[in-house]
Amino acid sequence: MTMSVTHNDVMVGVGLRHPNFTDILTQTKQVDFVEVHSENFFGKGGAALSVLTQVREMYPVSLHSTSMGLGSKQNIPMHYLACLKALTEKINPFLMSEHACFTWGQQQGQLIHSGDLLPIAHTQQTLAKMSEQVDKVQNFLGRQLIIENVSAYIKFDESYLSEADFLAQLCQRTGAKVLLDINNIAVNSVNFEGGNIQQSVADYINELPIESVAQIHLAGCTEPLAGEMTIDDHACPVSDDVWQGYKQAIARFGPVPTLIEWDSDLPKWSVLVDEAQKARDIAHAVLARKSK
Amino acid sequence: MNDLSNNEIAKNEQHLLLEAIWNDESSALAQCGFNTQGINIYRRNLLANAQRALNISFPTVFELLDSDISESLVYQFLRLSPPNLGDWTQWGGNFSRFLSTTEVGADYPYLADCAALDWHMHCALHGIDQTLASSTLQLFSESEPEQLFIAFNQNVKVFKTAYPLTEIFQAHHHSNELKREAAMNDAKKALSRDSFEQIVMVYRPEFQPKVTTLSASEGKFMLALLAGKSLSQSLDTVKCDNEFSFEQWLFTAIERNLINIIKEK
Repeated sequence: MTMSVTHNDVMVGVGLRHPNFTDILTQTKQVDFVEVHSENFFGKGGAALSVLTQVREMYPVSLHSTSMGLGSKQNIPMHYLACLKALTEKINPFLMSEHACFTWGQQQGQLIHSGDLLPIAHTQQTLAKMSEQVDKVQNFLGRQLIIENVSAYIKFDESYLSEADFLAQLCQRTGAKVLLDINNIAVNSVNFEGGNIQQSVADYINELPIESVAQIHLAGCTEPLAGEMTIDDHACPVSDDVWQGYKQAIARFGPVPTLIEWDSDLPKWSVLVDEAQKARDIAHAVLARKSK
Repeated sequence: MNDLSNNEIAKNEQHLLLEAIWNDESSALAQCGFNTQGINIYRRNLLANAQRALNISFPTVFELLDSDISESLVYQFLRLSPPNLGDWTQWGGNFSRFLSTTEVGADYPYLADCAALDWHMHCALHGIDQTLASSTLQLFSESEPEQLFIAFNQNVKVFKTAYPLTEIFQAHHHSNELKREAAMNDAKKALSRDSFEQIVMVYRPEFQPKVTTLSASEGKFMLALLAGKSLSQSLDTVKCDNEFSFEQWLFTAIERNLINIIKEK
């Protein structure tokens, strides 16, 4: 269960969405890897899966799942894991990630999927159940998972661990790694912590063990109206606060693969590539300073 | 599936959050103890995700409906048939049946069948990639028709309808505007008739699924084959039809990638 990232240089990729399929297949290589949402390729065949197979010939692919719900108290259904395993065997991703959230539950005795990344209570009880699920999934897939911190719009009163501590303990128990989404820390900072984003990001980064982070996500989101919560819509360029946090993250965790995520109001491919280049430049500058 | 006891479910915070999101009576929101603004964001996200998913899977239905009606239908369907597979793409298999039970489905009786066609197209788009095992074609010259069976490409669907589904579909999705207008006129004419029957076929020659209308004899023949009847039994269903030519049908079937393999009993 080892990852194939051995580069000393930082790998910078972009989230690949349907409107950019032609760009990725026809333009010169400008990113180091691409990341796709696993569930978009759960079909047994068809054009999208064929494109992904072609992309895989050209780029390392990271499979980012959004529905597994590793933090669910309900067990993850086997049909979901079977779809993910089939895709994993077809694509042979270099990274596989999911979120520290819950998605599965019951309504009137029936299994339901929330259709969203719902937050979890950061307690030892949740940690025990989530560790069990992560172990189970890693064994089933024969892969290491990278677990992402999530943005949230409610908090559970039951939580007594910080999310960073929760993730650090989870990784220690399971051998999984952390996918650090800096924008998610920023969103939660605005929604729950008074909005001193740079302080929130710095605190979060410093709480994670240096060896625990295996990937970084960078994204931007729409500014909220006064008094409203920030919604993590991935619809904007990476914000200055998040770039600032990225510098700190690279300084602490080293050259971990970094991804530009953009899901709504998708811009031209060139804009995504420019954002990726900006991340690469920042990482190089930080790493160069560090090595002096 | 029920790996948690009822007591465990009742007291767990995840269940309470799901309840708060899914039960959107205002009293439930006041009693749930969660931040109201936060719960409303999750509710809006849920409805928006569901709406987006059904819009993609049922493009004809959502072209036919006004946005306020479609939002209300999505809302009702979400409650009646919540997603349980973790993949929005796979959600909506019983949307057609749901539509047939609604008021708008009663006012526009072709809507449910349009949804069935949309769903078949959607499934074919993500369906397994299959092509003809051409070596099995030689069985036509080696075996008797009583012994031969045709296994179709899994993306092929044939069904009868009382509505001009092909025309309605083309009226909304054909790339040529004139063809869209002509299809709309044909659909309106067909809908004004007292009785109408159409046999519709969905198939996938390469990656893009297509829809076409079959003649009565082609439809009868294919439905017999799809029901597992032998080639001989299936040909018997069209023996009175002088227009039907098996050779011509086979040529078109190969061209359209309808057949997976020819099998011998």
